[in-house]
Amino acid sequence: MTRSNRSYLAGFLVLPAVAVVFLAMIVPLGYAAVMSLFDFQIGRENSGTFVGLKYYIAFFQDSVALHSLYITLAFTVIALALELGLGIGIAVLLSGIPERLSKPLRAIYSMPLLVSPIIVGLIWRYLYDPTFGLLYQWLGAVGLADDFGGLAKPGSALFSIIVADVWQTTPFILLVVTSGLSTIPSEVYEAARMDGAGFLRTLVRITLPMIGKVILLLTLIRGTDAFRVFDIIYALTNGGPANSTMSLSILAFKKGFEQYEMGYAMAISLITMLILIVLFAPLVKRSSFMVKE
Amino acid sequence: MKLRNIQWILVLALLTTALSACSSNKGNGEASSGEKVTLTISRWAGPHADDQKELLKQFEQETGITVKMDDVDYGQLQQKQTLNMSTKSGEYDLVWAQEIWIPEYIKSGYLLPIDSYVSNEALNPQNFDFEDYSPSLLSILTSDGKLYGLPTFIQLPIMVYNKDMLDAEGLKAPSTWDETLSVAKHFRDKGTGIALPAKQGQAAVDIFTSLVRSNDGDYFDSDGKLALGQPSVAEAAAFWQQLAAVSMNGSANWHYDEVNKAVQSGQAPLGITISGLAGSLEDAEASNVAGKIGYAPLPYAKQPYGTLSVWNWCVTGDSKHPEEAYRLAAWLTSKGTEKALSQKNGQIAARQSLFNDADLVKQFPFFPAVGESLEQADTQPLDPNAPKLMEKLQTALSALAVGSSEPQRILEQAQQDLQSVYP
Repeated sequence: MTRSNRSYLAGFLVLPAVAVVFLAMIVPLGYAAVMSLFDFQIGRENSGTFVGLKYYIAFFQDSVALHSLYITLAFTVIALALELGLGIGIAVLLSGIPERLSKPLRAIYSMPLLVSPIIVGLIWRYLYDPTFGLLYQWLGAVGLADDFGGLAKPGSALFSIIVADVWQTTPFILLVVTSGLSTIPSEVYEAARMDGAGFLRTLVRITLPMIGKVILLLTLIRGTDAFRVFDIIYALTNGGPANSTMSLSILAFKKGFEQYEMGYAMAISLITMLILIVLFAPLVKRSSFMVKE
Repeated sequence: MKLRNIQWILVLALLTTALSACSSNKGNGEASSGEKVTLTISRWAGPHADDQKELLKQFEQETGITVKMDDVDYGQLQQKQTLNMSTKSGEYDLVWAQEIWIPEYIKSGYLLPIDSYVSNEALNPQNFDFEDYSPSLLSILTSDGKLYGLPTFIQLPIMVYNKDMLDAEGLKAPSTWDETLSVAKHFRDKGTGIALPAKQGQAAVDIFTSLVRSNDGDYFDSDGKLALGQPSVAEAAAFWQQLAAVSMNGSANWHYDEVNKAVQSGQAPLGITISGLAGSLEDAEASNVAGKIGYAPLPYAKQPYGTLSVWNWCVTGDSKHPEEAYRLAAWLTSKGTEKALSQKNGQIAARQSLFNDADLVKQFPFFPAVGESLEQADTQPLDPNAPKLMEKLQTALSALAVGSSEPQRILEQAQQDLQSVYP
């Protein structure tokens, strides 16, 4: 086959996949962008009135919307930090103990990954309930039951949700980091040990830099997921108490389906996407894992 | 060459799949006359839905029409109905809709007017008695002189109390605000308190509306303008805050089902739950407190006032079998069917004759409390901007329940936030 024939063939074979991406992602995105300029309710798209950038401007003037942006950022930063820290930490620790122990342990730690997010929400809702839940029984046993607000106080509700989210997502980080760690040749560790490097120095100077690309990838995946958090907040507190756990996705949901302002909901979703691009695009650029070395 | 063959096979496979998908769609859309009619109805899942499924078998026997029920969780019900009706695919023939959704549905053209069917004797069950439907409930379903559905299931928040627990402390069942506060506080000091559905959501607002109206007040003043800062509302907000302070631990995140569980397990001496769930308190198998519960209207300042929510069977605009769908709606809301359903699980129908039916009252001691609440009752405001008012109140009440903010200030803040909607 000549070179030009081969590239035509390649283009033709890729066409179905491109068509799917275009139809399932680009077209709805374009539709959302256009419809966010209209005031309409779901089901009545034809009778929407053109309002231009009203919703985008309204978003930055609405204290509830700005507060939800703040909450979403706080959730993303704290949850991501905890998940990465715990995931990498457990992975590194498990890699240091004999296989017979680490294999079953890793399996046990990976179990939360198998549960669907809404069920995780329900499990934790009952764990956190002061009258019916296990958590308060344990806290009561050590006399701390009154100090922890749980899901009922604005200050602690977000933290409680973060704990539930960390519980669910750390296994994913654990598994990916474990596979990343397996690519580090053992000679490097032997050399480090012979040079007298301790556990912490090995970790900081050798392990982490060598799985740097993996961590970058995880930050990208997990960070964008955390920013768009919905299921677990919906199941646990539905945005309350007093809007203290209202993330951008929950706000968009309420605006679109409970307030009948679908245009506003779409504007919020697009703003979410734009913020994500601004925050994470540098990461994508920096990561050379996509390019052949 | 080998590559080219595979290429053609792939293309052919893709085309075949695409074509078969198209043709199977067409097949489903047509229904030849003389074929068995199947109706799809949309409603809220749960024990009531299961009981209704049982009774529907009777309908199928009588008329030969098969009924498929798509019962979903309350949280997704409205979205699913809206999505299906907006695509005009005829997916649903009959929808079970709450009164707050009705104005929207009518405006969007989702519902079919049923006046012509109501007057058609052939479609109505025996002893239909159209006048027996509560007129105020029918007015919710009427727009521009046309009727858009039949009311069926009424829900009201009511107060419940554990008679044994109150007697053990020598306390009388509370009815006014002050009485309720003192009884709740008595139990709070002992570790429990009143079980309150104080989660940020509509339940709290429904209760709050009752409190405001029982204080001779309303969200709007006599000119029809929004006035959340007026004394009747502020007093109700202060009461709500005080009540939340003496509520059971965790109430700030409870909805009606958790409250019901707390009462059912015998832990809660006082509670505010919804009439639809009260039946399960008397279920001897599931409840620890069957027979020990007393029922009353919500705590009132001046006189009891109920916030009612009424569910209605409505024929969809895009239904392919509107006559059969209406027939089903009329059958479901007939006196016989409603009484049978009430006897199964204590749900309250929109049929006036059933409120004081001797059999039902004996079986369900909470019917008189509901009847009393219904003497003076109204729905939430139904104007198109009402959802925004509800949302602001949800946030305000949640803030009052968990914090120590000034009720007056919070209400005035909410009023200000709503200025663009209610000038």
